[in-house]
Amino acid sequence: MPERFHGWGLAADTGQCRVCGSSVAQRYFWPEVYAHSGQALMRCGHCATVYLAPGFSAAGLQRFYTGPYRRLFPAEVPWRSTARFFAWRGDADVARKRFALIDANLPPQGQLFEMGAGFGAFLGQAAQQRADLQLSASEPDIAQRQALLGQASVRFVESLATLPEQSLDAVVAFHVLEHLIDPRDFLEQAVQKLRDGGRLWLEVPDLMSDWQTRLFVHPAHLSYFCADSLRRLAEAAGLQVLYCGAHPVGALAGTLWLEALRPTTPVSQPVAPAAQQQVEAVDQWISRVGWGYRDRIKALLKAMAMRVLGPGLLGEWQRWRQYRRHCAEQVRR
Amino acid sequence: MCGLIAVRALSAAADLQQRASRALASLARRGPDAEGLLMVETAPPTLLGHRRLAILDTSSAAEQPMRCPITGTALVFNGAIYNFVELRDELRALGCVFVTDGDTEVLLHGWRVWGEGIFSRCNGMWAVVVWDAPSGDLVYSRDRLGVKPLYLHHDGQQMVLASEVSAIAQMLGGYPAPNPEKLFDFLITGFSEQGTATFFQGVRAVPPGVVGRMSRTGRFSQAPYHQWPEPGSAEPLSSLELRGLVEDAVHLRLQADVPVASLLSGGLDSSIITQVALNASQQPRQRLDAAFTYGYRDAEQVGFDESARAALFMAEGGHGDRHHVLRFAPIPSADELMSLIRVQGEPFSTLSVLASFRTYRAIAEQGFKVVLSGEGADELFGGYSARYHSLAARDALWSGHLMQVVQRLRLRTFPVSSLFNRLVWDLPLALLGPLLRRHRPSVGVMSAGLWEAQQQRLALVRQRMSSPLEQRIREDQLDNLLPMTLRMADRNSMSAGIELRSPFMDHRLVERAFRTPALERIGAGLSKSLLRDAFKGILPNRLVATPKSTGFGHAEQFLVPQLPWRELLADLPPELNDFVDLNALRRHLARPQCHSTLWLALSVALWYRSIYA
Repeated sequence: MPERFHGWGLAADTGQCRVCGSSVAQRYFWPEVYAHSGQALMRCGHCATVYLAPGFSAAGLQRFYTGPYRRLFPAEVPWRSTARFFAWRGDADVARKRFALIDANLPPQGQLFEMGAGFGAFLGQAAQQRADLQLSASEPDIAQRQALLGQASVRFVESLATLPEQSLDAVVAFHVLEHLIDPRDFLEQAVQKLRDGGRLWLEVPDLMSDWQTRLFVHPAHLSYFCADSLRRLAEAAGLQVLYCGAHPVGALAGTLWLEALRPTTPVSQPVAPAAQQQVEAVDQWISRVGWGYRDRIKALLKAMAMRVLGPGLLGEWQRWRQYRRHCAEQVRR
Repeated sequence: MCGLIAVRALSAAADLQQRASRALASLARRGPDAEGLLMVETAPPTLLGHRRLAILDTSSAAEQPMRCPITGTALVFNGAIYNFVELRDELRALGCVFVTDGDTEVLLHGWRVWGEGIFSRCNGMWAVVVWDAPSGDLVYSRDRLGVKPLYLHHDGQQMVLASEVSAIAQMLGGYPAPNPEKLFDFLITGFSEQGTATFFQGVRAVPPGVVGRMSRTGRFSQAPYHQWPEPGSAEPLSSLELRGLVEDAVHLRLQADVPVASLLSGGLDSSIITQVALNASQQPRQRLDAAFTYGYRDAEQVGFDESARAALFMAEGGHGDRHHVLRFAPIPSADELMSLIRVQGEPFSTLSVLASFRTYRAIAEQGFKVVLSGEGADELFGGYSARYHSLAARDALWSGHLMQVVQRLRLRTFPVSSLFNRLVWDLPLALLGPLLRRHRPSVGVMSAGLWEAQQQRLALVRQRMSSPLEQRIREDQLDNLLPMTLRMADRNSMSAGIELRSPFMDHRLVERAFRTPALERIGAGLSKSLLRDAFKGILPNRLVATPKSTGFGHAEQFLVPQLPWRELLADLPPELNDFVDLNALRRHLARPQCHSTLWLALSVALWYRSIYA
């Protein structure tokens, strides 16, 4: 049986799009089945953002990440050996590749902020390769955030909002935007905190990637973006988008990469409407994913395995499979 | 107590001011005393409009939109802040200067001093929209229970907030299309207010207990300012404490600069309210001027007529001169019925609301503007004994406590059929669907297209209907019965220019009740045992020791086949058949015995006629 969490701390359902606020043409697809949180997958007919509704209240979100989150996602739970945990996940390798994409655009002694620093892998790599950088970050998981920092000196702050205006040269957020209650708020804050010409890099799962099961949708990811909706959101926040599309790193296929610039005079504006074809493409893409008996049995087996083996062992198995896949790809190349 | 609109256009919009004027005019009956429309800024164009029903400080100085002389912030407000005197004293101590003697100005200064913190300090009912001059944000909020209505329509380019959907329709140049999901749910359950969806696509009720915000560039956010407590999170409510809370809630709601009356059905709740109000000091802003009772003109309805009980209650207390019985024929004319349908604006679950529709009009004709009523007591204290006792029996059955089931059945507080009705919802969907379609006429007359297209909703409906008692009673209060009752009461009272005040909706009382386990509130025998205990010795024993009375308009709900439905169902737009099979509905209504749920389908058909025909 799927693990049930009571008191999810969901916000009131406004019937409005999480990103643009529109209440019109919000399409219902199906109930969230990964954790049976009581949320439903919706699509906005105005901006084409896909989202889970209702979202979390701020208190509910905090409760979710301190409680159910780790149990819902066993791949995030270390088991016995933390060295093996990180080796199999490949955090450092991915971080190196991400940093290589942005390094050339960071000025000497540049101020870099990472939103949702996780285990600190990216900041650890940044410090290793560019000792001149001034690093700051926000990460609520105090227990784990130093795990991969290495020798990096990082100033952890409560949130981006606490930093002075126009004090940063770079803001990065890898797999964070989709977790936020108010993604536009974060982007507008980034615009405020970046200096003229400062840059923002984002990485999010691609809604239009080849996902085949409704388990792709889960309560930790509140918003689901395609390249088009992500670009329009960033532009609405006042950013000048330099690139938004498939991730340049092959190993990160299935994710979107966005690079944007803070213009001298940023102009925040309403989220531009999506083209009708874009909305239809999103609808088609989601509608192709069914929930047949095979999916149900698979979900049931996973939930049973979680009960019998516990999240640690199950996570270890998942990471081992991921590591094996990664090694096989390396050999092929 | 009034009507309001707020509009913000994020892109160029033609005729904004004219459309807003028309929208405001559509709310005229909510506020017959004054009108104000203000363009608070032009980039982006943002308008606030208000129709006033003057209750506190009836001078023109208290008209709205009201502007803060210090910041330029403007607000429009529908409702009443009952603790405004206490808040005003606090604000005065902080240096605020007041020029009116009403609650609106308290909200305005409170916003400047406390920001969003003002809402959690308020005891009252409200829908308010603030244009915050320093930030340019449009901020909106409803009271904790959503006593006062506020609807929202946002198409990505323009946001409209209004007290009623009719005003939104005026802004849009027509009503949005019907919401098939809502119609499906309503025809199955009879619940019209679950969640924030309305019967119109794209129109949402603003959730109670939250503050919403829209920036000049269209950024939207929302945060709760209030959380209801869980049962067992504090000492249960005692009868003594309950009595004190009810008395204070009534006294706060007597504050008005216009005559105040009460609704007196002759049952427990309205008698409590009337008795406490009559016991107040009778000084200015503490006086109950009259009590009104709904009765029937014809002998056929004598079984439903409780006016004699009410008259006896008033006479015993020496207040017979303040009591008025209003008598009506139960069957409305076609015109009166359609007038009720238009006032409600959306389908509604019971024709018994015809009684309050008529009563408020008659009360207004006698010069009253404020009415106290016992709304909410049944939901809060478990007045629907058949509903809740049968749910308790079902829970006991599923928990294997068979002796408890037998004991509950022996008390005869609900028919055995009600227990079966509860158990049906635990059947697999494959069985439940056909059963509903065959045996529940409102589902049977649903069009095949709607039935097929909305099948996925049946699982959601079933999930709600099979929730355990404690959860169910909470849902009834926050997301189901109570919001439905409040909506019907608001539309009926406001259509007559009456401000309805419900002491049982005082948030302090509701919070304490929520902390008390449902079964303690309901009791095992007579319903509302906690409330009965609280007023034992204060009210005549016959009121506290007898089962729940029928309330206003009980006869009407059984007279659906006698309504003038033939003429009203003629010449309806054929598109209505997308939702209701009209021929099937006519066939059912023509039968001598008519299932009560058929009203749901008739209500949908008449609503459709009033909006789209």
